[in-house]
Amino acid sequence: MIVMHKFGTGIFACGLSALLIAPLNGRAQTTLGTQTLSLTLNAAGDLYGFPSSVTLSKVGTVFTSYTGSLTVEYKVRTSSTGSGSITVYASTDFPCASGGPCIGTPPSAGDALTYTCSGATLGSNCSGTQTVTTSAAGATSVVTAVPTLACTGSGSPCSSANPNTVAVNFTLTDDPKYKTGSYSATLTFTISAT
Amino acid sequence: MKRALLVPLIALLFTASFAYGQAGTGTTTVSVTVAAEAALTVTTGTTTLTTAGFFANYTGTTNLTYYLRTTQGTGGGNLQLEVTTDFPCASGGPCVGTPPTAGDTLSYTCTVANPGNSGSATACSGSVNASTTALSNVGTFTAGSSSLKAGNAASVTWALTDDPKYKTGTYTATVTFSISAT
Repeated sequence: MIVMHKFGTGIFACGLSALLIAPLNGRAQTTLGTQTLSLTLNAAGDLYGFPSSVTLSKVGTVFTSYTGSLTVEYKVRTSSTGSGSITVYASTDFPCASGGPCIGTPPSAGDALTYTCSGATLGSNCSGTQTVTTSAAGATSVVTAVPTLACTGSGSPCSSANPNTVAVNFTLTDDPKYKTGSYSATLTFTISAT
Repeated sequence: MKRALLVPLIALLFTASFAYGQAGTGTTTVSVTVAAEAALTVTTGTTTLTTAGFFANYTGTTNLTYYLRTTQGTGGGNLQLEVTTDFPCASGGPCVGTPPTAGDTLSYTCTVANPGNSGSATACSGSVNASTTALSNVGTFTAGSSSLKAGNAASVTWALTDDPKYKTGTYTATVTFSISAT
């Protein structure tokens, strides 16, 4: 609407414009500029899930070993030159002073918390029987050799499983020297990908 | 009027949310309950009883290895035996359940080494008559007993009356050993 005001010798036209923002596609456009979208996707690894606890038990009373298993779920993406792995170590030992099992200083030679790995759906199972240590620097393998350009997904080029999984099967020596009681240790799993 | 166009400039830049390479950790608690436990192995496959002659008793020794853990403070353990299959009594030889002559017995004495890690053992006292109807004592263990991982030794030395009434022949019986722990 344009309102004409008559003031003395001049006429001023004031534009009272209703601002209306019309859809951009409602009028011809002029390119004002361009924007580049940039994405850097790095290698990544995630321990997707596993039980917060695992109980070792046994059948019979003939000093056979205690056993128990858990399944680790993981997701991973490796670069064209990288790899991936999962390791484990005991970040908190059993309470050794209580006279039960002890990872760092076994009560008897040959006492150990060991494990095997099976069914890794991306990468390779750890080789043979591994002995858990209390040293982070000496953490032992659970999954090794996740190859270059690997990824967790639902089909090619990624793995068919999502998430990926691996079973860890624990064995604890049953030494008569252990005093009766309940004992717990904490295991820390670490996934890395490059 | 000069129109000024305000054109919003939105810079879109996605950066990766991870640093170069990545490591993630997770923890789990591994637990075990250690209970009282006992096991044994009979290391003598077959114990052959022999006599020095002149109707001296037939004697022989059966060796055992036991493995044991009893509860601290309140536990204990027992090592026992029983004749679970008698000699073939109808054949006229020795017979544990129904001796041919009063006084014919299969008896034994015991040796039980102390548990190698902790606690103590008490062997049966003197000579004990074996039975076909009940367990008889070989040794007992105290609370907090713990054998060696390789086990500890026990043995039973047998004495079987040599009754002239026994008909000649070869006779066998089966003795079952048992061990328990609390």
